[in-house]
Amino acid sequence: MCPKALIVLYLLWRVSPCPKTTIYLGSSCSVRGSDELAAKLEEYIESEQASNRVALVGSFCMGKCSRRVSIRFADTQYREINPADAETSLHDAGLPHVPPTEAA
Amino acid sequence: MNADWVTSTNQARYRDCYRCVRPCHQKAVRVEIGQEQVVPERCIACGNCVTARPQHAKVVGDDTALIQRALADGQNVVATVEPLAPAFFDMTSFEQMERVLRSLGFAAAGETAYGAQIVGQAHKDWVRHHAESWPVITSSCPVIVNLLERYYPDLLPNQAPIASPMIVHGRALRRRFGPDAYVVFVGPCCAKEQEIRREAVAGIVNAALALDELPDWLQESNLSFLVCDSEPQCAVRSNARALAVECGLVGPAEMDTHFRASTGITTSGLEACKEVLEAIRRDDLKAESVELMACEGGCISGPGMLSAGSTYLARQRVPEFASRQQPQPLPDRRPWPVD
Repeated sequence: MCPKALIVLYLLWRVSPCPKTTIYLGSSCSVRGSDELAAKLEEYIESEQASNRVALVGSFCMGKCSRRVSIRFADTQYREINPADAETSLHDAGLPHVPPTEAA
Repeated sequence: MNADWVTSTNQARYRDCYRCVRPCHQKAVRVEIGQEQVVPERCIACGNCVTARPQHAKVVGDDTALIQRALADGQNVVATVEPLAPAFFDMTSFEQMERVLRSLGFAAAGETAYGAQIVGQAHKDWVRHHAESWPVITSSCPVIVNLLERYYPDLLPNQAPIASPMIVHGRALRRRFGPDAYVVFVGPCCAKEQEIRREAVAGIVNAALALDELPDWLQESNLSFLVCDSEPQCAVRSNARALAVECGLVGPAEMDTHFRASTGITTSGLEACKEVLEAIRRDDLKAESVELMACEGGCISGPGMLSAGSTYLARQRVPEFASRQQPQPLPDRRPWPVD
């Protein structure tokens, strides 16, 4: 599961602005890299110029500890997030590209 | 006439015939001093008054001139094309559409089905995670959105907060082509003209081109569709391309609409949709999701489809196109984040 993909998709489909993304910063999540994840996402949201559409907040442990970090994204709980997950290129597949100027 | 609203009256063709008063389900056309007027507060932009006028006295706001100006200004014009185009053109591959639009000066053209794919999946997830708002009302038909806002505001909490495929694809195109891109929607819907100006999504799609305007434009420019004989390179088939037919969202959303499952209800046509909404209001209808489309049979009988011939022909040709492999792949479920 890639949190960046989650945010991109969300930014694509959601009508209303400003969903709250909660990153759990309890000791269990923290040990597994939630601070690092928060920083990455913060930076990413900034680069998408979407800080008015996604609000990132931290939260104490909500008892959803698992092997990996948990976040709550727009009313939905996602567990098992690997902060090291790379961004997927999913959103570029299917978008038209501009071909080199072709003879008609 | 309210300039912000979708239709206007062509004075030269106007005959005092009251033809657009009667078919208006919402009684949104009033006659004042022999002049028909649309009342924006009542109008849901269904387009019935447009369909009812044989002399085309009621016209949908037409953005062709705007688009041509953007092209002339050298803007980066990209199109999102509703997969209904096969009803108008002898089109087997989307590549034909891409080529013809490029010869008109567009920088690129993509399929609105890209958005449909995401919208379908978003609905699926939303329905699964939000049992408290069952039955979830799908939000892809802008006429239904208008209907809810104006006549069933108590049911708005049931509506999925999901943008339409046009908007989703428009946003994706902006990611690809940058904020300065001029995004044009090509489709058969009156209400899109108004949807692109809605506050929450304004500025994503710049203009809407009615599908039936396209043949004229091509003719003026001496262009026509060429048969495409090359096999698409990375072909993908997707039922998202059949979005515009009744039950269209159900495919990409993988909903169960078997009549015995009764978890998903799909219906089309304004009167039938209102019946469903009344039943939800009375708390009679127990379903997880309802897909509502204002035009009977889906967008294939939309007001911009008049010149395409019969609805049934479109009903045949659109799914046929959708069953083919197309050159542009659509985002696939696997890389989607699932909880």
